Amino acid sequence: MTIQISNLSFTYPGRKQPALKGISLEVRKGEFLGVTGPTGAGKSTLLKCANGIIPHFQEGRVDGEVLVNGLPVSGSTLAELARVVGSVFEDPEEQMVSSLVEEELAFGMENMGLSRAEMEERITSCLQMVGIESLRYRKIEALSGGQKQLVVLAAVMAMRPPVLLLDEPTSALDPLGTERFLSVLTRLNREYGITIVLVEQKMTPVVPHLDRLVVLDRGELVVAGPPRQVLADMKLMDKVGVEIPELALLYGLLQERGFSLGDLPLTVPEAEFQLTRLLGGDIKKCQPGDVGAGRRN
Amino acid sequence: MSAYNRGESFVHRLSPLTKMLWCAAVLAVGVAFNHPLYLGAVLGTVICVALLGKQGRELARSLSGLGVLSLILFLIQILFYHEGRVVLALVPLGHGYGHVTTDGILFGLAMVFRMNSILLSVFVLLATTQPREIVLALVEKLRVPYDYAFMFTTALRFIPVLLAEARVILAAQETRGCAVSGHNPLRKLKAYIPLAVPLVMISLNKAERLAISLETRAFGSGNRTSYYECRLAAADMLCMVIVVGVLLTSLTFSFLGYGRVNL
Amino acid sequence: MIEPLIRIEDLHYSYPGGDEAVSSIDLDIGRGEIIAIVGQNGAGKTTLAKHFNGLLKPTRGRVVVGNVDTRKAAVAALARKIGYVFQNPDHQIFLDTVAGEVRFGPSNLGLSPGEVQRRVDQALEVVGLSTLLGADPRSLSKGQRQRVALASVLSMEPEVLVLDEPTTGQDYREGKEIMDFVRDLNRRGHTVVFITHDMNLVARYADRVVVLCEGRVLMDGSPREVFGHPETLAKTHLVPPAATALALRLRNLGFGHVLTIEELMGECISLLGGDRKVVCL
Repeated sequence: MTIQISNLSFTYPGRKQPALKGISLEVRKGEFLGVTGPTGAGKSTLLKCANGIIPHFQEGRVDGEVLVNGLPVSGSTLAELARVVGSVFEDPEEQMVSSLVEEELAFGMENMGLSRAEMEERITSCLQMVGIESLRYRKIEALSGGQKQLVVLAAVMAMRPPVLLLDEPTSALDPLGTERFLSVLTRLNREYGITIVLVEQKMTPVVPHLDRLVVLDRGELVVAGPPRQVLADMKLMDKVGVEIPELALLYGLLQERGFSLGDLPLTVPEAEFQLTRLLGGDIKKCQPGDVGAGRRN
Repeated sequence: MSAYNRGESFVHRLSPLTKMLWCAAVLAVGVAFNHPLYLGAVLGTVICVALLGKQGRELARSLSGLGVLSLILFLIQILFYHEGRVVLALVPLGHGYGHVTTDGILFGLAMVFRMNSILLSVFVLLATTQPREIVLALVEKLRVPYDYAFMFTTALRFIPVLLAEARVILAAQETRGCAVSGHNPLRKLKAYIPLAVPLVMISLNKAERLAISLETRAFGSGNRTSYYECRLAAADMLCMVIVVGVLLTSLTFSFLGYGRVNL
Repeated sequence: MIEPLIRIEDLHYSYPGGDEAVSSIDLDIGRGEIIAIVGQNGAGKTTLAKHFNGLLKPTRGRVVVGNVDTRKAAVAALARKIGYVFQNPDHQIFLDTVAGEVRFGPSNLGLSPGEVQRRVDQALEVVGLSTLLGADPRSLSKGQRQRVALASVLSMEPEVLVLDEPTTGQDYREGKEIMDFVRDLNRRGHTVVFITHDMNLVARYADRVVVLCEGRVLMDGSPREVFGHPETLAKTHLVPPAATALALRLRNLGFGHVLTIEELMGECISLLGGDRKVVCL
């Protein structure tokens, strides 16, 4: 198990209600896990318990244990954890310290005390991993929001962490930027085997990329499982306040009327295929797309 | 980074060390002399270096700000310096204050030239040097602890970010009828609270989030290496020799009494 | 011919030292409309919106609000007519009670204390925050703070409400609540303009959508019309809502134009003959 969370509880100082209540969760190596839930559910808090910000930067009462790649979070320093888990947050401006892309990529490695040769090699490979080789010598202020966030991602990957934690990284991006960022994440996950935990509010663009979806509500883990399964329980999603993607809603509405699409569709091409089949149309005429996108779980 | 202006010039290519040495020299010479003619010459050389660094346009632009400051400084000096021959008796404030004297004018000019020389030299340094080069020079060669150098450049880096936030806050409060333009000074002061409070809150939040991000990238974890090198080229050595030479010569002259006026 | 509330004539705007952010925009905003402005980041949405209340003055062309040219009026003066709710409520919040925040706007208008109080009470009620009037805004969730910001603009009783990305950064429920309040306000007579990235929001709440691409108006029409042209939308990297996109792909099966999943369901049911057949797959 890459991430092992055992009976984790956390209360912020001065608060009566715990932000996390007895959370137990295991994340497999190479998994792409989504975490969602309404405001105040504890999603960001959970990430902070996994990257060491809690308890090393943020005070509060911690119960239970978190192990990342075998390292106990409370027993390891932030520097040790930085080699194992990388974190990307919402606003790229609040994560960057340099004026040049190349310089930003070097920053984390400089902190780690790597040699110049090693840094050179990693800068090249990380730019390639994230697909932004052309941005190497650009000034950061001239980049778009989506590009900046990709630079942050590359800079974090330069530390070669096997685990990546992301807290609503596409919040400020437009649909195109969001789509690009998510496809880079999927590539990191599938081609490089990086374990990813992604906290997001918007479900529709995110779910096709996930292996599993975890839903938190008021500090508790409500449900965890393959996204199609989790979203199929629409009454629960509605009660918790999680966005039900339009296509999942279609699946549910048809089911209520006694029709079955088979699997819950996560993308438009999937839904097209399934509806065509349902309506007895010619499925060979379906438009190409990422049919079968989203993990088959 | 607001102050750095990208460009290709001799001054841009010089190592930050050289430029920092030059700034220190300007400061030293500026203090060593107090005759306006000598100080004017110092200012002249600073302007020449600025032009050499292709900062002419920026120079002209900052002249308005500096000009106002200079004028205020000059007026303060001539109004309150009362030694020497009286040239113009303005407001008789008693005890000789309010009289414009020759010495006062000289002193005023000297102050103005000195201030402008020092400020402009720092301006040229910041305008022709990338922040990370400054940090590098400070940390690698001058043994300044990395944390302090980092604080300095990060603060500079966030100036435009915070200015942008301030502009949004201003717009947001204006759309609630909060009149920030206008001439009543008391009103203007009151109007600063709806600007200051959000700005402070936002700045603090940004600082915290940046700190968290840095921690997760192993900031402050021990021995730090650097991807970039701070190199000194032949041109740098030459310039530094010239600067030190001029500095020593000026200090000698000053010691011998030249360029110093008994004021 | 009813006079439009806001008339934009050949609007051009360039930020100082930059290229034209918006060019040749002609737009009329009529009373009671609820309009969405969409486009990718950098297309000029916020730039355009900031011209409505005079935050930006055109570098060419003009913007007329009522019968006032915005170039001749101060923002604070136009604030009586046009309310602008910024994307981040923290840019506005500076007092330590919700009531105080909501009171700030109308108290700048020189009204009687009684009138100010009435407006405050009403605004708080509209956004459902009457029970929280003594709370410190900073202790509230982002969604609640957004509602405080909305109330503090509403209390000025503007005719037009401009909202910059009202649901970004909110959770699903909070976003829906804000938009429901906004729709309610529109039904009560407020004219609403909102900027968004979310095409579902456009489909469900807007009766007109203006699509911007690189500073120009690409399309202007009802959501149904606009979403019927995905190829044009693709120029500004936008995609119609899933329901619309799906229906378009299934045109050959007899699907018509739809805006929402509910409409799509309707099409499905009618195509399935309306019986309760259970089709096993």
